[in-house]
Amino acid sequence: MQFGSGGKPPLGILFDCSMGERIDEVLALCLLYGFDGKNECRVSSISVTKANLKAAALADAIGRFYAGEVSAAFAAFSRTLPVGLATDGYLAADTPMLAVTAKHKHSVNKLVDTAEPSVVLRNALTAQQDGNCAMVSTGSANNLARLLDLHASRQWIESKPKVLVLAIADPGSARSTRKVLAEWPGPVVVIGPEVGEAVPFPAASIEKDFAWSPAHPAADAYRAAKAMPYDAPTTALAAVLYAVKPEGYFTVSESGTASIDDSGQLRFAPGAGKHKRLSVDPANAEKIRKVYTEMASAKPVQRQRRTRPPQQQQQTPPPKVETPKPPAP
Amino acid sequence: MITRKALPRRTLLKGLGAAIGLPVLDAMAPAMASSKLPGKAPVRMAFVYVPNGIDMRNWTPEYQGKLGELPRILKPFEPLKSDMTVLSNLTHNTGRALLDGAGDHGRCSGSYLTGIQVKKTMTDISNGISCDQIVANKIGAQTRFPSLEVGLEDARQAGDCDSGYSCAYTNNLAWRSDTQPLPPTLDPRALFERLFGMGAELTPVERARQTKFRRSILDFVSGDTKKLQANLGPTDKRKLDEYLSSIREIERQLEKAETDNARVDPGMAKPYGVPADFAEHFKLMTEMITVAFQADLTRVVTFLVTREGTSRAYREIGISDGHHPLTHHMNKPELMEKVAQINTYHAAQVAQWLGKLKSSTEAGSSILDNSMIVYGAGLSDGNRHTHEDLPTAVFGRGGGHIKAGRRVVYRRETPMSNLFLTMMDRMEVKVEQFGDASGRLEGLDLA
Repeated sequence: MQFGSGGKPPLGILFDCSMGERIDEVLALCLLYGFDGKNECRVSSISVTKANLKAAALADAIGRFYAGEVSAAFAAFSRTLPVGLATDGYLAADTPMLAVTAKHKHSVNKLVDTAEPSVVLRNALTAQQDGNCAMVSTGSANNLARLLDLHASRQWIESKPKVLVLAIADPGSARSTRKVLAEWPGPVVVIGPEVGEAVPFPAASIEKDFAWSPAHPAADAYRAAKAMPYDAPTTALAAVLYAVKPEGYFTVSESGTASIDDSGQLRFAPGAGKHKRLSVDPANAEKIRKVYTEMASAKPVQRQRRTRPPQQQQQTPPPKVETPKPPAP
Repeated sequence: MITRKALPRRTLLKGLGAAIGLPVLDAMAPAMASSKLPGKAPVRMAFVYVPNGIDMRNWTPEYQGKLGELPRILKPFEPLKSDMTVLSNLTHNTGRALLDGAGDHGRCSGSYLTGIQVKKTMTDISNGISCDQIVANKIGAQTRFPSLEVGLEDARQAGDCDSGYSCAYTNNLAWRSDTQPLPPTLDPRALFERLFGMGAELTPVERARQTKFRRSILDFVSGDTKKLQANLGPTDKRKLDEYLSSIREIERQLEKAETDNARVDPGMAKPYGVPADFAEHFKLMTEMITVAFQADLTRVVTFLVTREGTSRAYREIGISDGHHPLTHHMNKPELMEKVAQINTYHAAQVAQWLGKLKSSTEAGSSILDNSMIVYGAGLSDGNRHTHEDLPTAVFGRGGGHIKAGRRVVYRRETPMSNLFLTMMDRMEVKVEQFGDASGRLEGLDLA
């Protein structure tokens, strides 16, 4: 993606999630598009660790809601971002919130409509300026672990992201998480479930702030996930908010080493290490909640395409080729 | 040199300044049976590249699996349907801007066979080794020429050909190293002399002498030819006659082009032996590639039909607008129609050549059966400069490995390098990593 001569583009966010497992991931994706709409970040890639086509379809439906269906001008120029979908491991079961994919437009109907997630992540990294993107992982770390093993990806992992934000809401695949924590070459900020529980997302916001749209995919998913009303933990939203706005909302620990214990729980030991842990100062909880509700429910922004406008290709003179003369008779 | 027992596969008909390789003959069977690969014909790989993308609406079949009704641009391949595999969703991420700004044409052709992001420069060029050259390095010693590089247009190697990208990127497909492209041969006479001469082009004096006496290269090898014929059975004799006749026909076409060029426009800005007509030029070059495959002079060919970003007009089919400007059609139907016509015209030329490969038999199969010929482009939509879902068709079965006659759709963003890595496997050149490949391409093989 090209930008004008205005210098550095907004921070790119590579969002990797287990879409369909927890409602906070749906809201986190909306929060991301909300920031994108205000040019505070760029959604640079979407990938899903939940091996279920509907999970990719839901991510695609949300992308279309923000980019395709609303902004016809944008859609005319570009297909939506390819959604990376993990296919390894078990076939993940449908969850109630995935049923909303039947109602919302998306382009993921077959596996070939998705992409290999590690390739999506690597390709997205190649398009970022050094240190001008952040990777956000809110599901299992399987896709990141695969990225670490993908040919020709290490150089990009080392140079492109300024941080990896790892939200560990559930004891997921401990093996992948351990691998990422051990091998990720750059800074890692970990977020435990307590951060999400400290600032629950209010059910009332779904009914009020999202009401501008008669069919908002996130609101529909929220209602489908569980009997309303309920407030939802926000670990995934915290990961997105911290990646986009690292200052002013959360408390970041000193360096240390994060690990996953035998029960799959996140542990953090201060000291030498390249990991940090996020926490919430209760005094900031309301401020954080306000950002969550306002930005996750923000209306899509129809704007100019950020790719370069059509340009005349530089004209080159006709080729100069030596013309051999016919041999003398 | 020539015995009744076993005719060596590398037998040459030699004469003054001439050396003509032979097609596979029955008389070679004992010799081939004792070779490393008993009874197997060699597998060839070729890459035929067309610029400025392809009108995908008229390229992509609407179905997966067995090929049925073909879209407009693929129609010329109807007789070759059972030999064709259409691949969808292959992507060259390295052709994208990736922070380097404008210059999609320069990038996409430069990285097409390397899978490497080329350096945006006009001076200190930097790319990677192309997959054809990886193969040529490994198996090239088995043939007279490790590889052939052929083209029809513009061989400049310096200057700016697209927004700061050196012409080296747009005008070459094959790269021997990061910094050394292998320019295509454009002049049919030069290719002819390379294939059937003693390995080098004639000097101007030699060429003048040959022209003066109008002697066929076959005349120079007539002694060896007669000796060989005396030792061949009727089938081999007929095959040899047909083969030598095809070389003579190429010579006639060359002479005609040279005569026409001298008469029509002696000062025209193209090599002396290049026919003015695009289709004739295409035919002449591909007939020589056919002979090179028949005689196993090489197993690796890159064919840059025209250079990326070309503004060549196709007056042959009534299109006087430049190809590149037309592809920026902004969805105007009349311009899109012309793009489709050019794309179909290119496909027709390729189909004609592939038909010849299909009818050329060897060791119980056809040369096309024993080949993997990639036909495609480094851009899909030339209007938007997109690098995903690149138009790609593979012709042939790679010596019996590929299940052809199908459209195979891969997952989005599947690296094109995966195809090339897989093709290298089929050439028995094992490479662990190539370009930005994420693995081998699945689903190509016979079940």
